Amino acid sequence: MLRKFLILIACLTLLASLGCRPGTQEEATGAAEEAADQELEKTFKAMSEAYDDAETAEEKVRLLRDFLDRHPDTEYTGYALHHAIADMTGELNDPEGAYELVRTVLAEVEDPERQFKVKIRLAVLHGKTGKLDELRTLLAELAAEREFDYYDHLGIIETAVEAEAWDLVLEQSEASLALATPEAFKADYPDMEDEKKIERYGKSRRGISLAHQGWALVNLERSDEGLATFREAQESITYSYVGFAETPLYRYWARTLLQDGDVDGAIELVTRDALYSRESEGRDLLRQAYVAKNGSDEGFDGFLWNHRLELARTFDSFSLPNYDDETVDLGDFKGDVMLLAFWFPT
Amino acid sequence: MELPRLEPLWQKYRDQGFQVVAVESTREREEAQKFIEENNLTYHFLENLEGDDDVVGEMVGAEGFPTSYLIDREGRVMFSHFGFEKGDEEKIEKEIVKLLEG
Repeated sequence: MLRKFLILIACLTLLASLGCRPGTQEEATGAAEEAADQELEKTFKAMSEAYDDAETAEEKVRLLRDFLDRHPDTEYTGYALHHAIADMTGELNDPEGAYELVRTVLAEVEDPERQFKVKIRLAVLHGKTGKLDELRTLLAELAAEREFDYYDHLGIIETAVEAEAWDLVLEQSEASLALATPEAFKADYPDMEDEKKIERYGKSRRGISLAHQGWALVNLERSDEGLATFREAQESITYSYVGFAETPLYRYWARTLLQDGDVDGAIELVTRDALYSRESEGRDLLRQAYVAKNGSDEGFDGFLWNHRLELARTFDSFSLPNYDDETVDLGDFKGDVMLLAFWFPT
Repeated sequence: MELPRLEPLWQKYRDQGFQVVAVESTREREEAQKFIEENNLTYHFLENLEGDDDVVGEMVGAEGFPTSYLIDREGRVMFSHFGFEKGDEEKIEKEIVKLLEG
């Protein structure tokens, strides 16, 4: 958690220093303030390390709650809340508890920028706890206050999908499209220089927005438009080395086809997701399609394995030096099973 | 998959024809070697090259670090793993065993 957070803070700091928050730059950071900041950073780092070592979700949440209790209104608020919400709505299955926590923190937050972000999280939790009227009211309030960024939209979209509030999913995904571009991505991450990455991440935003938009249309009985949107979304998907993309697109699309009785179509769309995704949703969907086709899930494991063999790409071997400056040709290992890991020292 | 956890897997299955290869991508030699030493890692460690000779870019590109692949005896990329999570070790070991059985 710590490393990801430090990268995020670096990005946010750079954003702030580019004058995106006029007014705060005028206050010269006195020595005392700096010392307090360092103290806070130390406290956060300590908590973060304890969090990483914690064995249970209960313990993790307790650490975050303690931290938020003592420091509710700091640069670490968003991140601490993010993790608390994830743990509480995830493993602990306690969205009401998460909701209460966000409300408590919100009461203590004075920084207007931060307040807005916490309110977005509150809106998300309205969705997760079925408080749809409150969600709509809060959204209207927030939209009047300022422009949402891409992640604000995405947070609302995801909670609206869970809550099956399709009108909201449609509205928010349409609104998010304007920010689903490489330019908008670059504006959010001005210190990122890798143009290829900017292009890719910008594009993938579009793919995600269109996927959600398509699914909303399908659920609003506008299937044809939904399917057309899925096809459009496909053009914005970037695939990994194994030909996979972590996106809801193919799961939504497969579900649509399955609903229409096109079992083979559904299977074709969702097999890669079933094989390569960390999430189990694709695999569950594939099993569903398999059962629809075959009457039972007998033979499903064999079916999955055969597809894995069929879709597996060939490893393009290469040679690289080791730390004794000898060239190692990975082609020499053909005939062995190889685990190839990519890393960098932290 | 955390690198130190690969060492026991390497020791356990190497005799059945199993290789573990770690490719370091930032060319931070000193840091890398320190890490290898501190953790007593004995499997293959390679260093990525720059520019046109960079192999990491394509294989890691969209995913990011840390990414690993399990390749079978015929050179097919059968499994991929991104990041570390609880339970990954067991998963990976099962996959290795399956590929070793052929």
